[in-house]
Amino acid sequence: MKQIINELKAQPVIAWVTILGTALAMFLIMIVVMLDQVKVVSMAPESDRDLYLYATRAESCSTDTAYPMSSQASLGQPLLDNIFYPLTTPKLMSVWVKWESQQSVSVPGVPAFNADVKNTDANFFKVYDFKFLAGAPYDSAAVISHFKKAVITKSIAESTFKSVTDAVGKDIYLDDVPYTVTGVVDNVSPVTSKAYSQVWTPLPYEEPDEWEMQYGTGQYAVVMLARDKKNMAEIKNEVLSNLAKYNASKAAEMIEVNLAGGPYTHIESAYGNDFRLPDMAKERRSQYLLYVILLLIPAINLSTMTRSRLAYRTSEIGVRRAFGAPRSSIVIGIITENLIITLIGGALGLILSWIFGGMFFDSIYSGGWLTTYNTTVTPGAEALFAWSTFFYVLLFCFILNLISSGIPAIRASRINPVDAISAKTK
Amino acid sequence: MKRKLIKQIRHEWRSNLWMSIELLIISVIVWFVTDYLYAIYQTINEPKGYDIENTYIMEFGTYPQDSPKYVELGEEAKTRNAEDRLAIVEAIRRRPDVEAVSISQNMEPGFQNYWGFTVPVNDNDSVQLSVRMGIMTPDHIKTIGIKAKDPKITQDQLVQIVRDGKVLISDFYENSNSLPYPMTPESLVGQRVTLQGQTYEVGAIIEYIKRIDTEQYKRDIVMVVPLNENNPAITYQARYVSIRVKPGDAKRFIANFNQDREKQYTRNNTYVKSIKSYDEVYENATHDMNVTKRKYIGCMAFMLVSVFLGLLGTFWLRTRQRVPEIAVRKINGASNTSIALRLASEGIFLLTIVTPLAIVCDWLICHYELNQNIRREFFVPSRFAITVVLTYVMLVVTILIGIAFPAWKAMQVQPAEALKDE
Repeated sequence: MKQIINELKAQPVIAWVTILGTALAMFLIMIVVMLDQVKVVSMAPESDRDLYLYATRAESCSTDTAYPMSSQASLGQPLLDNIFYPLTTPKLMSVWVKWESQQSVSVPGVPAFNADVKNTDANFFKVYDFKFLAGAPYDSAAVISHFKKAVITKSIAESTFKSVTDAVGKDIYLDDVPYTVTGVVDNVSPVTSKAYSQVWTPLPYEEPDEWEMQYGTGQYAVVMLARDKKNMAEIKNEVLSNLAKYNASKAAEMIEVNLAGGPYTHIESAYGNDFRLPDMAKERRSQYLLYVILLLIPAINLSTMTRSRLAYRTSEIGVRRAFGAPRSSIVIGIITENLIITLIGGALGLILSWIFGGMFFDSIYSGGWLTTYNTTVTPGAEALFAWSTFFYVLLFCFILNLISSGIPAIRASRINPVDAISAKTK
Repeated sequence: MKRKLIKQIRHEWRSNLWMSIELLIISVIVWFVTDYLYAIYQTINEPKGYDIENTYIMEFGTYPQDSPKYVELGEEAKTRNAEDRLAIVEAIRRRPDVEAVSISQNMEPGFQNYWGFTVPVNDNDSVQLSVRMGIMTPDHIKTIGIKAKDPKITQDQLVQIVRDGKVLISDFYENSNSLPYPMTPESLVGQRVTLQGQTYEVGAIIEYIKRIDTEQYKRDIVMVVPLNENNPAITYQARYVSIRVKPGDAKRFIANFNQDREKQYTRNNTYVKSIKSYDEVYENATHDMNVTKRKYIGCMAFMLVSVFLGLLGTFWLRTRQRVPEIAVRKINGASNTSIALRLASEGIFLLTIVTPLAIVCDWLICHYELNQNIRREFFVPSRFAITVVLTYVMLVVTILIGIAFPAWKAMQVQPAEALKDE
């Protein structure tokens, strides 16, 4: 360690360039990892992302070749009634209106403002792990009776009632309709896009129209929570079996429905576009390619510098070899020395990425084409400080170090001590 | 000088090879980003087909039965609501600060809905156009500033064409995929098109109307269908109201409008749900694209800083190793500038060596259409030349900055001190 500190002190410019280069690479890799992590890592309220299955879209096709037709939309009431409500295998199932709407929020004496509103059933608050700061979610009775109840976020409560606890039991106007606040939850980041909203209200009462009854498409989305990984396959099978039965019942009408490759796992849903199952192998390949490019550039830089630095220390290595130091100890010494410098840079990059992620995540995150939110997007502590992120940092540091110092170290260890000391070797 | 430079580069070939590989990769990535940004910039600067300065968009709301403000209108509720909307539009039109007011659907810049239809021409089912449809009242030409392709046709004439119940069609490529066979836009003027059972005459060709700045020019064929502004039923088909404000009143418009909003622009169950400037709508619409641009620029900055750090470190070490050599050169009469230039030319030489290879990679990216297209072209020699030169210049500047400090250090070498051990 002393030797490393002395080495850093002796060559401050190189030390800083190495540390800054590593920090920069780590920073960028961690931002990329963070953008990926927010999609997949479990974070409240989507605390069981490994166990969710989603059905959010259906395609209804005419089997009549004389009148070919296909229509893609969210799920309609007939699909809920025939496929999803009868399910017995999931631990829990919840239904919501897929697209949250923007509604004007007001209370007497406070200027109206817009907020995102999502319509859900009561199970939504069991499937997703909302942190209630006051009150409780609306119950099934409120949903069945279409009562005007609402759960709001802390920020909405503070903007309207100036307090979290005072909001419960009071009326809030959504597009001029009064709703009674039953509970206040902690703010939800749009990165948990399925659970996200600012206000949640019970599913609206709407008679399905003729189209919905005939083709089965409508406005709903479904999430199913599995008991464990094994249960996910059972749920999928049951959904597809119910779908086959439904299609058999529609055969006379020459209509066939599919779930656009669904039900999707959370990861498939996060990378997909609703219309088709994503090619996860391709997604991973692109991600790895990006990591390779981001790693390769600093690795080449560091490698070149390590080589030059070692050339500068040729005589020192020669003396160590002359005094009997084995080649392995020279290689291990150089790699360790480099690893420590890389770790310092990695730690600096990680801290920078935390600071950047915490402060500017909103400016680099997009929920997709045309997606805008009435709130700031934060990455969530789970994505910022996930254990997997620490693992990635360590792994990247190690890879970077191996690439940049491995070959120069081996070459340095092969120097003939006599040549090295007499400075014949460069 | 050149021979010495090449000799020196050959002498440190291993380190230079790695640096060349790095420069090659970075050159390709920086070119890709430069080309992407160039394409976006060019696309943004192409004609938009509208002018939304001083223009606002308003949306109607209707109090539902659960609302305490709900007014019972009986069986005529639907008709009354529609009439109320038209009455509010008329009231807004009478405002002294308003220039024009129109009602539309799918013809609002910043909104990216897509109504796709195939329309037969002259009742011939085998000749069909695939169009993006929008509907509007005639004044929409003035509120969002639609222009005819032929500059001789004025906006007032276009308004009259729409008033006469004719459709407008946007300019398109003669070999557009939306056409049954190649044809000129002008050949459609005077022809009949049928949409959902109703036949219209094509009145004029207008400039292509983009939905957002970054949309590819003439991506679709836009067909604008007229709405009769005296018919209450139109408010079921079209729910957005565009308002063009007189230039001097634009800044205060929202505040002034909101003062009158409750009293003057609420009729029974119909009220103004929202009003905002098109600029605001636009900001939301371009959010996703802006995030992408930021990521690309961040990536390019990272690459350039990496080159800077890499060169700074490597040349710093080289300078230290070469102290005796620099001292000898100085004794032999080399000036400080020539010492610095030698170092700088090493970096630039390496970049120049790898640039032809990088250009081949850049060309392959264009060839396989992996880059952004402009007007459906992935490779245009002038664009390619501009982006290649820009990339080279950016890298040269970065190399010079990276080598500047080591070069300055090299200039400080005192021959007597450096050679005292020799």
